[in-house]
Amino acid sequence: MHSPAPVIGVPGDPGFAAVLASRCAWDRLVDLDEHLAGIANRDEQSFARWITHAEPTLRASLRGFAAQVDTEAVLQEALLRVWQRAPGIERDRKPNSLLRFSLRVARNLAISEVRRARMKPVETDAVERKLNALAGGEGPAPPDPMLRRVIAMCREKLPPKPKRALDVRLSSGGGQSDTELAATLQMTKNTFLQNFTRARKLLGQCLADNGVALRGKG
Amino acid sequence: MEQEERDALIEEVASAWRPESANPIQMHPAWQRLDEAGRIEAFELAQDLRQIEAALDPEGQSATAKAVLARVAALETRNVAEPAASKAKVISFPRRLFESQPLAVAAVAMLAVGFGVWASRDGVVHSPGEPDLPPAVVADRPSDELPLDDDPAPTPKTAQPQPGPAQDVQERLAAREPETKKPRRERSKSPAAKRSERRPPPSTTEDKKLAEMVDPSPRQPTKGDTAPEELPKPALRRNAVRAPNDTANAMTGSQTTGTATEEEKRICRTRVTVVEKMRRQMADYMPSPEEQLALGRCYITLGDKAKARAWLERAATDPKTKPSADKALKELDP
Repeated sequence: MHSPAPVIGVPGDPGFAAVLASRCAWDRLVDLDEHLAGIANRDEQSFARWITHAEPTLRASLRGFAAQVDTEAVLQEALLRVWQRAPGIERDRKPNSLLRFSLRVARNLAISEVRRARMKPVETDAVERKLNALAGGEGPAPPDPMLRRVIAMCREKLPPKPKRALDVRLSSGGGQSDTELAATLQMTKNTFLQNFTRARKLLGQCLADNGVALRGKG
Repeated sequence: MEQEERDALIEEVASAWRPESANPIQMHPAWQRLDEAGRIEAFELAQDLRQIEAALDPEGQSATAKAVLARVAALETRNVAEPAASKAKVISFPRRLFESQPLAVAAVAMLAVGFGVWASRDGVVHSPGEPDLPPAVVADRPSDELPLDDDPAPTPKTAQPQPGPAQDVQERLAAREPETKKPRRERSKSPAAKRSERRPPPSTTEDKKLAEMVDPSPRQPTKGDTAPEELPKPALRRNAVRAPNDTANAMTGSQTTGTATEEEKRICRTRVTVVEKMRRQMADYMPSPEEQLALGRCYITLGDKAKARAWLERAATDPKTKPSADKALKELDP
């Protein structure tokens, strides 16, 4: 015997809007565990895709530690450890199990680093809240496709020297220090940084003019 | 700190580059020069920059993602080379037993044979019919081995050793030997006499004590003893201390040296191939000092002295690996 199809309402019905809104919200959530099998099989491409989505969430979770540890360094080390330990991670029934694991790794690393530096402990409730939210189904939002287009357009409008500084920094992929990058442009480090700052501010202004606001300061 | 300098520091810290260091958390040098507000500012700026970087990258990767993926790639490449080395380190159980526990082997020998191994100069009893000892081992083989029950050659006494536990055993064993068998030429002298020929007379109190520890039954050199002075005292000490291990190694090494060398060569070929491949693919790739040292040793194993010297000299520039590298260079050019 077939059970009756669930009634989700019809257009115009107040319940329909709520159901539609919740479905749209659900579609925006990403379960990054779809990459877990590939990562466990040592597929670096899967890990790259996972990082692309997970990095903003992980970085934001370290905000409370920003004054006491170098969060960029902690984040990179946490991601490396996630890669090393991913084969041992088993999916539970909740989404984003690897992301939740990596949040804990990053938090523990940050706490260890704070202890190592003998600084005052920081409030870690934010991480716990994030973990609970992730376990409850709230995943990272997918990247905004409009942002890419607007940023690319704004980049083209930059003056030559700031644009070169920005391009060199972007192409280095975190592999070279600013001193080395400045040397490739035959600039001093200060000049390079000034050009880069100028490029960043101009880019931020252009983005704001086009209705795109980055999360932090521009 | 001036505002301009502070802004430059914030800009530096906001980048994804971090220096390589022994600490897994590779902090940016500029981060430590910033105050708390500056660090938080750098954090906010890094968030924006990563977003911009990801948006401008065709694959959506930020500089952080690229830096981490580069570290992952380096890690994986290293892991490709290391399994071969770790696999080569797997030693079979019998070999492990003989290599790692010479004292245990000696203890078993003591129980089985029924007399103290300590009576032998180097602490290990050899069976008389060892055909496959390499020349170096044969040369070092003690001539004062005690005869066993199955040894057809009785040991005539030419010297008059002082009574001691080992001597008692020798006498009892000699008495049990059949008298009809003639002594072999090389066994015309007693073990005690042969031992005396090889051992220099202890000159100092320390040496005497050491000699007594090695051989608990003190004996006077006989008239026919020749050139005991040729062996310098430090060598005597070294031999006395290291003899059991050396003998244990020789026991297993005689059968495993050939295969171990081939295994080492195979590992070295793999390691060298991986590094050369990486250097071809990544122009700025440079192995760590430890890897440079290992490479230098590998090239020695493979017989390429020029490359071995080049890598060892590179390794010698780092204080951590300098002593080992210098030692290897000295061995390369004695």
